[in-house]
Amino acid sequence: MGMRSILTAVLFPFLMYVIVGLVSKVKSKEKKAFALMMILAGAVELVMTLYLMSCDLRGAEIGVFEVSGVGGLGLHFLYTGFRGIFGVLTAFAWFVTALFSYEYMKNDANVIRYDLFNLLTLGATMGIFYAADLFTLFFFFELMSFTSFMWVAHRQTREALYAAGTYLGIAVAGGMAILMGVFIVYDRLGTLAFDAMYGRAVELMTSGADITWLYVAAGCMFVGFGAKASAFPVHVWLPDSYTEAPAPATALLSAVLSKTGIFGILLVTLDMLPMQGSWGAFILIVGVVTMVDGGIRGVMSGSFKTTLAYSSMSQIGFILTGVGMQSLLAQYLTEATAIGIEGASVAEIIEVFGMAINGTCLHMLNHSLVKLVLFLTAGVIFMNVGSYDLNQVRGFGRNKPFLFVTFLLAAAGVGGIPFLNGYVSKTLLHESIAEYGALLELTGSSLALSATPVMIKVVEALFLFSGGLTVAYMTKLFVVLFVEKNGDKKVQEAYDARKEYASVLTKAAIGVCALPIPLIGLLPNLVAEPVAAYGLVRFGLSELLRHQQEHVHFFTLKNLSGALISIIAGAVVYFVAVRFMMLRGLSSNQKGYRDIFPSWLNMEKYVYRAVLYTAIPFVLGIISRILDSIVDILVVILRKTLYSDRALPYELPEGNRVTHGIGVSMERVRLLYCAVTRKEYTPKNYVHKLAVREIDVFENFRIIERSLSFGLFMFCVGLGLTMIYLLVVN
Amino acid sequence: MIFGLILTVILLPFVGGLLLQVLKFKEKKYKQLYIFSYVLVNTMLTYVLLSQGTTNLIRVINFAGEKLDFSFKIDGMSMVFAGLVATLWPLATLYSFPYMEHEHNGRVHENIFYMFYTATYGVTLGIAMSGNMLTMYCFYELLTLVTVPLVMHTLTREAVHASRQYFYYSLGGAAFAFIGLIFLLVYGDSLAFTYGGVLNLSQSQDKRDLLLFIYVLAFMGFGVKAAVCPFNAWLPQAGVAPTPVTALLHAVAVVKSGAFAIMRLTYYSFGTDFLRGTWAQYLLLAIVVFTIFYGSSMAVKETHIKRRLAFSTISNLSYILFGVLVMTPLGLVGALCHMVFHGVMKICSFFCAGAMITQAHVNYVHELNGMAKRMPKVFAVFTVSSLALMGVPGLCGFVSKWHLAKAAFASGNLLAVAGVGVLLVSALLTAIYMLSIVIRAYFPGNAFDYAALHEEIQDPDWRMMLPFFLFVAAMVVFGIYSGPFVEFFARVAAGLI
Repeated sequence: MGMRSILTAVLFPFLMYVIVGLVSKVKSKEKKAFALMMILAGAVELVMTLYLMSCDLRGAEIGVFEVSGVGGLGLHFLYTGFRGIFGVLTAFAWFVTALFSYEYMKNDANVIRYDLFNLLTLGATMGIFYAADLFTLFFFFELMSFTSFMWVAHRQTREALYAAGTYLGIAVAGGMAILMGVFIVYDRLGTLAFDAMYGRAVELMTSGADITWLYVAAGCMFVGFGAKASAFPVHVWLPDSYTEAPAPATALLSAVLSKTGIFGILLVTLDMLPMQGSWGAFILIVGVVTMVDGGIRGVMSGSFKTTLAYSSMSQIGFILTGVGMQSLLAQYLTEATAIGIEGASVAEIIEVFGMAINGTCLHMLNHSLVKLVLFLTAGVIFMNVGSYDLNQVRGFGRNKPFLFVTFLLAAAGVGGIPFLNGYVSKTLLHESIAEYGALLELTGSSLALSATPVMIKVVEALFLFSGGLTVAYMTKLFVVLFVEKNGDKKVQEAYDARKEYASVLTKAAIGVCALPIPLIGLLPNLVAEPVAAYGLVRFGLSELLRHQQEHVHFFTLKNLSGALISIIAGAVVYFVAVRFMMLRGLSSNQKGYRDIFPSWLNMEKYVYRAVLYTAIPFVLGIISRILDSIVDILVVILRKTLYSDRALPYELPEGNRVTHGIGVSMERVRLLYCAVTRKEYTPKNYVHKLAVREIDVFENFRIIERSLSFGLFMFCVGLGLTMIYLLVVN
Repeated sequence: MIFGLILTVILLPFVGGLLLQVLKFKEKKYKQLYIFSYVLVNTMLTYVLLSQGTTNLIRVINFAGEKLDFSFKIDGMSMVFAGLVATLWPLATLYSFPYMEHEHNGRVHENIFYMFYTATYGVTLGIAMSGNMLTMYCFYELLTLVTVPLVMHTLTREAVHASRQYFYYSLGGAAFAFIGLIFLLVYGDSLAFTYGGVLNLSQSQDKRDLLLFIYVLAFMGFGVKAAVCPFNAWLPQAGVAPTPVTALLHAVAVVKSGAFAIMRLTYYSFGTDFLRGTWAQYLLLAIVVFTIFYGSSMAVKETHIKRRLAFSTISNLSYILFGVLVMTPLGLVGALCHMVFHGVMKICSFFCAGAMITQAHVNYVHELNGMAKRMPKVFAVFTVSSLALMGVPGLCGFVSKWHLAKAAFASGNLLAVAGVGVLLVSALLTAIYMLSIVIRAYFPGNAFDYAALHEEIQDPDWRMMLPFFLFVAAMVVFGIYSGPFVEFFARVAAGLI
């Protein structure tokens, strides 16, 4: 039974898709019924995933489940703690957004289409998290990319379609890159199952074989998975798509779909290139760039939702940093044990390693929860205000205690304020970086490692700075929403008067997501650590880690000081960037926010689209045109020269061939002469003149021919010739 | 018995078409019934023939010497190609009835059109069942002759020009192929198709480079029909023909005859052992990989629907040749897979384009805005075939792409591996040129005025819809459950059948 329910959990949304599709044929007017069906689907899915988890906790066997033959290779599913957690999270997110959509989407004309594609995306996402091999992962990943396209295109405005185009383009390109990676992996490792891949990869590495191809494969896959996770530089779809999709869809994009990308990168890092520090360093650098870039642009954005979108990108950067640290630490651990450092330090390394793993897993979870709250809040604002512009939104949240509490929890949570969830995961990640730096300085010189102490120092500083950026942009949003008053007094009065700004279901949806935030933050050792321990990703070292039971002490001075640095940095950034640079006078007595990110730095428009739509077609167009016409040109040339038509036999109107030819050439020579000397050309009718001459000449000849004297003359000539013949020959 | 059957399936469409000129029908309905019935009977007979197939050579006429004869043979390759053709022809014929009713001067030349249309069926089967190079060459030339009137059908200036171009290209190509035939005659043990090749290597050791050069010539000669760059210009031009012709002939029968001939040439005449790893392989691989990229790029640029699909065909035909040129049995499996699957996908998308043309009288991509609302079924089918062409897993395009890539990696040939990269880039371009149509049709934007679309635009009648649904079913079934097919192809590619 346990084995079957993985498949059921994956197939159930597809079944619901069929049911909803059939019902929509009959009753397309009952919008509420559809919303209720969606909530039901989310709830059932949640129960199923929780049941799976309970089976696993009870120790019931949940093994690889396969559907053989599909797509040539068969689909295989697998349950592990990590997969279980994210399966539950996915179902939870869908359930919550379905609750939220009941009110949010009620006036939408195309809600049924939205629901249908939503269900498909849910099924595909489930398939991704439970996939046991790369092919299954790819299969569902592609499906998810296509179905989630409909979210972005949903509103069908010009901007939405533009964003959707970018989204689809990046998704398809990413999908193809992953496929290339899959081909290479299948060729090099001979298998696509994650378990077996790990074994083969380790075998290859220990045997000293060349693993360049594995790196190529990993690079390809990184493009695809990184695009979905919105890692730099394939994040370009993110701001537009997040802004254009309906709020519940954006919440899902950020909370769940970005995690599927991270999941893929984790699998690549852990199963394909285990213990490869260079790969880890690469991920680390990408993570740091993503983190800082997203943070800066988040601060500079003048739109509520776009700020949240960039916040999402920045947090993904944090997670990637964690993934990179895992890989680097794994390398350190292997190298250290190979050389044989004393037992105590090994335990220490394992502890740091555990921090990186737990921190990554927890930050993924925390970010999902927080972004559900934030994007759903953004949805509530949009329902009431009809805009995401900070100047319009300003003052909306005043006197709305529910909104205030949930937003504050989420914003402070992601900002890493102590006693909330983000603090826990960020502390773990920060500690792992700091401790790794310390370890490097201590023993690094004797080991062949991919990171240098200086690099780690920079990473640590940027990590804290990015934490500051998070604090800054969240403060910006908070101040705009709850502290400041709207520039227009009447609008502010209307905002203040609006008490019924959201239905109970909507509030429930937001509240349920906000609840775990303080829970995780206040009791990290009771809640966060067990969850992380359950989710321990298989690393080949998990057994080692399971033995290590020591709790991390989160609320020590040392750890709190890290958060403090971030908060101070955030305060500075907020005052400099937001209060000083962004707030500008809109009119004489009112200051307003404006977007200060320079528009010429738009990579999507000025790099990707420019290259794809302008540069490549131009170059290829020239080549193509030449090649396309090369055969035809050859034919035409031959036709005009060697194989030109034979001139038709025709009667000349006057004169004969010779006079005609000479006349035409003389005419041409004259034309040329006139052209060279720039004289006015008047036709001289040489052809005609010569023809007339010719007739004259022939007339004369004919007269002579017919005369008697000509006959006598010819007779004399004949006589003379005979005489000469007789004389000479004889 | 078998020989009689072979002769019947080749000649029946001819005879049926000729009788069409003589017989008088009271109503159009009866004429259509008559055409459809003899095509269907021919298909049935072909199935019977294939099920009893024999790999023995059936000699018909011996010309001169012991090598030169006219012979037939039904091996695995024939089964694949003849089976594909026999399955698609009745469906395309059914589709052509409503289509030809819409064609402008269709009524005038309709009988002649159907005569040549069905005659092509017989000729294509002849190519599939040829037992040696000479027989195949004869049918190959015949194919050009019977298809030229089809391209010329509308008799417009463009049509005449296109058919002339098609004629020049095809005959020119066949001349190169003929050179190959002569060299095979001289340096081979026989002309008969034998798995592994017929070259007498001990006799021709010092002529290696010459033979390779001849192979390249013959490849490019047959490649004209398979639209290998730079001999591809005729294919988009030939799109002026009525859609049933473009769909069946210029996406399946004619162009795949070219690919089929190349398979015969490579695996059954020159032999892959002789060719593998030589400069000829690398040169042709480079050309083919370039064609893949080139076809897709041009399709992105093209705005005429049918011409866009024609460029897509150019690219996809080179997928098949790419598989052939990997020169391993695995590569041939990929090539056969793509030959069959691409046939289904492309004929389906062409039919959709034809439905758009007849129902809505549109020819260009930008005229399709919002059409999906009026023709939901056609566009649903078109979407599925687009996704299949892109190679989305779960549909048949992915299966063939998977096998092609697997073969390329397994061969260890670096150029082939690079070719896989190009294959994927081409898939991306496919996404652009196919999905841009789909997106236009479904999302014309909020400002779009649906009322402006003509009232009469709607899904076509059942004669067009039936083939659609069969094709969609085939794409999904092949995509999800391709095991038996691939096994069959594997046996063919290993020379077992």
